Amino acid sequence: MRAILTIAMKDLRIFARDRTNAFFVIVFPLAIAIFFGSIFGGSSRSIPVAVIVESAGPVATDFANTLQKDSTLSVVILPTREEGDASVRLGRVAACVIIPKTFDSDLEKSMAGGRAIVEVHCDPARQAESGLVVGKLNEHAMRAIVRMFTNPKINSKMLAQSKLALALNPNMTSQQRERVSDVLESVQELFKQQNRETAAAAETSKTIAGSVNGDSTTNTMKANTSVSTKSASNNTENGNVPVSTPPSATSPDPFLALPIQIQSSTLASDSTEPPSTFAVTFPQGLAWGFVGCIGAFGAGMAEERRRGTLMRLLLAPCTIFSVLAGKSLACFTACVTMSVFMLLVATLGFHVSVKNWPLLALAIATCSFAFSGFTMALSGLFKNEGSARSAGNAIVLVLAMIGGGTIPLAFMPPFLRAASQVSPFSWAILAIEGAVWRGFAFTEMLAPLGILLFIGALGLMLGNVFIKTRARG
Amino acid sequence: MLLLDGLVKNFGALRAVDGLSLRVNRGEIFGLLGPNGAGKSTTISMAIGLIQPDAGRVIYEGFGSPTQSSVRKHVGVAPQNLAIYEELTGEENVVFFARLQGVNNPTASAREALDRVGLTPRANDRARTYSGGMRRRLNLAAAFFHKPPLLLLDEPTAGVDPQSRTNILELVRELANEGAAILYTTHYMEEAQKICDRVGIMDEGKVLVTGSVGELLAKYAQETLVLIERPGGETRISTNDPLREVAAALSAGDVSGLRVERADLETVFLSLTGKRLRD
Repeated sequence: MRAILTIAMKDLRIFARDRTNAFFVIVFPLAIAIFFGSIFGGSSRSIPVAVIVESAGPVATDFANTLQKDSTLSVVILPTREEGDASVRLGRVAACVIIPKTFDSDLEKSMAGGRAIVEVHCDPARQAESGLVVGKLNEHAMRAIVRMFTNPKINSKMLAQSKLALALNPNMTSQQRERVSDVLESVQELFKQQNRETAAAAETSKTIAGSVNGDSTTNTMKANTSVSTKSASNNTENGNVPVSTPPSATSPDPFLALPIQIQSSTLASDSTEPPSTFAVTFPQGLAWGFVGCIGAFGAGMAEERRRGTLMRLLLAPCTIFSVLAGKSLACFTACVTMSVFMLLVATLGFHVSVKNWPLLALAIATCSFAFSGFTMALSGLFKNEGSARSAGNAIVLVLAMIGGGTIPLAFMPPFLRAASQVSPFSWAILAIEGAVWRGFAFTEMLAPLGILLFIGALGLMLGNVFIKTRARG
Repeated sequence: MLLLDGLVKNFGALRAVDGLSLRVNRGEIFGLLGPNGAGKSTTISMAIGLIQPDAGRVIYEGFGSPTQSSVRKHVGVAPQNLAIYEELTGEENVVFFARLQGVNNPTASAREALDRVGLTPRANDRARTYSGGMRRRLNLAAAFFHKPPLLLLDEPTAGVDPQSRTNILELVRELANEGAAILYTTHYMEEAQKICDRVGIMDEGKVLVTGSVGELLAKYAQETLVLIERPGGETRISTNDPLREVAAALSAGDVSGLRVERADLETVFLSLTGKRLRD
């Protein structure tokens, strides 16, 4: 152990005295974190979304089906909202869309002020994508409303439910009830006429080749829209605003809201403020810090061999494993020191709030172990210093880039996202994000931490084998 | 102290060391001489246990085989490459190796070693700021700070100025006088002639001859060269009796200059290994 500590101390001293190390381990990662934090944004192609359909009603099913058919969304149907939220936290999807149990029944009362809420839990790291998801949901909500109003079964039931809700509404005066009831009667008449026309059109379409459903839908939508607007406007002008409080609505003006309302929130944020973009980019910066540490220590063994100091170390007498372990400890210490420094800058300078400090400490320790092991494998892999530096850097840079060090994984095409699974950097970023703002539970951290531990142990083992093989040669 | 017995080492089809045997005794400086590629470095690597011989054995008498790490602590090595950390100071370098060796008081041992190589005034400067000679002396200090009974010095004076060379040679002699067995490789024949008690000349993996410098000169370089300068030109006479040739030249008269060149170790070396280039 004395030998390991002595070698580690020596390597750290040498590391600290090289100013280029300070640049690549501190300045460069900081620059990456601040740069991307400042310009963070953008969009993606097919956006992965989890959809949870809690309602068994026809409108909810139809709404979910249309989401699945949307080519801009890559929908995965999950059984529970807990699983959906977990998918967001784990970074598997950009958002989790929840169609609640009361969706259809709330919609049926829409004529009496009821509204169905679609919840969207967004990944704060993927705000651009989340914005796009909300936009798409609004679009599909509008389409669903149109289909709902043109479906004879649904609109009849909807009117009946609305009348019932109206009759039971304790917040309305009898005068208000009477007026709204009149409006509903007019609407019922309109629906009946419209349903007759739709039925006739359907008959015609059986005999005539081609379909005119699109035109019919468009016309109907216009008619419905005008009726709704008119009735709302009349009520407002009279000053008799029928107040109805939908069970889950939060909009201040229910009459200006659509029957389906998209309510989005940032999943990881329990506090009032969403996580800073720097909370997203600092883990990326840390990844570059790890790259710097690998660069500084990766050529260590080849350097000792070139200098001839490896001979002295082995005569000391140290075993190859002691030398390797000492270097690994130095690399580990540098990784931890760099991480602590970066996080201090993030929290004190950029107001990044950390959700779970103990998990973050565990994540940093595990990442540092993984990268020190990885460094030792690289160190043993190459015979001379030149190839250790150039080929080693090339490997590490590619892994860092596909692991989300430069461009977040969300912005990458699917094949690169799949490829990122082999990069230790993607797991490191996930583990750190999990502790900083994704709100991972310990069990959710097990996968990334386990993989990182495996990488570290494998790296140390391979490094030892490589160096012993080379020493025998 | 050091016994190399029938060492053989092959690298693929190349036989780098071929049945090499020699012994280095306590208090003795044994010079191992040979052209480039003769197998000196491979021999040293086997002598310190870093390379396993394909045949033969290496024994540190009284300690065992250097393949055991506990035995290797009894040897000090100054490799031909400067095996020091340029980013560390001279003292930090030696203290580091002393700590690894488990020396009781690493700082005191390091300071003593640095003092003996004349580096005390620059002990706290980084090695990168040292001259070539100072680096060589630091390389040597890192080999003997723990006073090992066996020292392997691989070209310890390569590329140094005359002052540093003198310092190093005097120190090597002192260390031998203190009882260390020293295996010393060099290309500088006058250096080997000056400090080595015995030398071995090796080529193509084999030790061709061993013996004291006097013995080798007597055996392989008996003739002396007498150069006689006259107005008509220079006459070169190779003889076993230079005095007789000089007397004869002087009695013949008209001699403007005389020079007698005694055979040296280089003559022996070249006569045994030939003049073919070994690149």
